[in-house]
Amino acid sequence: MKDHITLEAFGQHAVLINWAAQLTLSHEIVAYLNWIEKKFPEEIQETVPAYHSAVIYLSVKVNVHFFIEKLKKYVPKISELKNQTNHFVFTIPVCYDQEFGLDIKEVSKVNDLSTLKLIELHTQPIYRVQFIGFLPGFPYLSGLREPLHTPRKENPRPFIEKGAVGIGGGQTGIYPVDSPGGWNIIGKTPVRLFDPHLEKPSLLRAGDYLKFESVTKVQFNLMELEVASGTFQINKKAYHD
Amino acid sequence: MIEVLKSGIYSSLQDLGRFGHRSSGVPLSGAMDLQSASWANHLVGNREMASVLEFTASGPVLKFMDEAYIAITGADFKPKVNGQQVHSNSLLKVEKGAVLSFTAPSIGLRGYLAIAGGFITEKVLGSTSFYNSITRQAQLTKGDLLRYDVQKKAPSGRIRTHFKPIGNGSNLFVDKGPEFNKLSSFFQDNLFITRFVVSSKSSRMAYVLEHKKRFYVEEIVTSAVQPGTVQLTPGGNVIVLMRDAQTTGGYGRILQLTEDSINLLAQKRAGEIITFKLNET
Repeated sequence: MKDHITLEAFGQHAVLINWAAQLTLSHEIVAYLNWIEKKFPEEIQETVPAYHSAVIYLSVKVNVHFFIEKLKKYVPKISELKNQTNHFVFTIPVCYDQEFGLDIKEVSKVNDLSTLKLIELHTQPIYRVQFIGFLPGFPYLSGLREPLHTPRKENPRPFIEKGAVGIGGGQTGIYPVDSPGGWNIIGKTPVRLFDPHLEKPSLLRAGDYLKFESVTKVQFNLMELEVASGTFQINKKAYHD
Repeated sequence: MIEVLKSGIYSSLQDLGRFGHRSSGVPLSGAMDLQSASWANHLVGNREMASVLEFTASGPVLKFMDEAYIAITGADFKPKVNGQQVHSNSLLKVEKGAVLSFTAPSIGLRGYLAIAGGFITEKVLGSTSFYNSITRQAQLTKGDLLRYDVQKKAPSGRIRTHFKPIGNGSNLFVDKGPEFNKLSSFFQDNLFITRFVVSSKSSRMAYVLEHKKRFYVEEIVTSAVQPGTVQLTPGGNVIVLMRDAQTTGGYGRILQLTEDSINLLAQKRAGEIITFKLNET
């Protein structure tokens, strides 16, 4: 771990950590952050992981330069980073019907695929949640199959409903809250990805995995009712390396 | 209770911010000018994290249904109670039925109203700060009712003697950001001699700074950003992230404002000039 991380001050109350890109998986970053948060509960306010980097936000009383020197001395052993967190594989139901998949025809056409093939390619991979950012609860996912890569729309929509599933360039994702947006919308999930009234407001966390599952409009409508009444059970399995 | 007779251009309740949820993509939020907000709370004897009313450019018109002890800080909005001018930056008693109004300030942009006992408002994820998709409303609208804990006695012993005006300089103090060294040395030097103009596109999320240079830095792999981060887009736009900023971003982070400079910038309005100064501490 020591060889491929660099630490630097990011303003007066934050430390930016960069990992050598190819060597690090998101759950390793999350494990390191959990470990370091436990080591310095007084000094650390919160941490935010991203691709190959993370920022540690410090309490205002902490001198960032002293803290970096201290951090350099704390290099975790591989064994200490094991079992820091539990990660899950979520199954996210998506209705790819044209009523929700506003751009599914366009995306099929651009990539020269049938709609069925598009759905097959989108539901095959197990995507990794790299981190949450951009919007409350918005997952940055990796694993979108190359034939589905589609440029963002030239004119972003002023309003995209929460639950919309989209493709933007080489990425796929789910809008957790209503928002403007420029991604191509191919479907919608009834699952609530973000609920500010829960202690952990984001369903997904960095290091988790997810798989999309195609559902019919009838199933979608039923699930939406279950979500509204609080009886919906999401399919969630523990992830093992 | 307070009835909002007019909302003003953009008024919201804010506290110190929503900490601990940035890894879920939840913005920090909180008062744009935290120094003025904290001082308003201090004047009425509240704790620093109590919710205050933040208003922008034009103030709201508020009717007090009960008596209240209040303090108004920030830009000079020339507050009036029932048409009579009253003091900013001091503890005021407002009688039941009184109407509080403001005049657009000649210097500064944001004003703060703190009320002894504090506003009673929904707390979501540990904070009362308004934010779209987190709290029920993002800003106040006409007819809203603000509840507060009515105090029958004046708060005592908390009056600070020295007056803390909003900053009026044009220098924003900064540290080098993570991508500063990716700028050419020509651009590095230029950043500190350019006079930037605050754009009218500025908001609680970000300030846009206009200039005639052609600064360039390449985009980065998405990484965390914070209030005060100065981003440079590939098109050369300079953006300063403010309290409602998203938690991650893909533009080069060339500078990072100090906390005092975020407060100072929060009081700048469209057309004002600012310059960056490297923090020497």
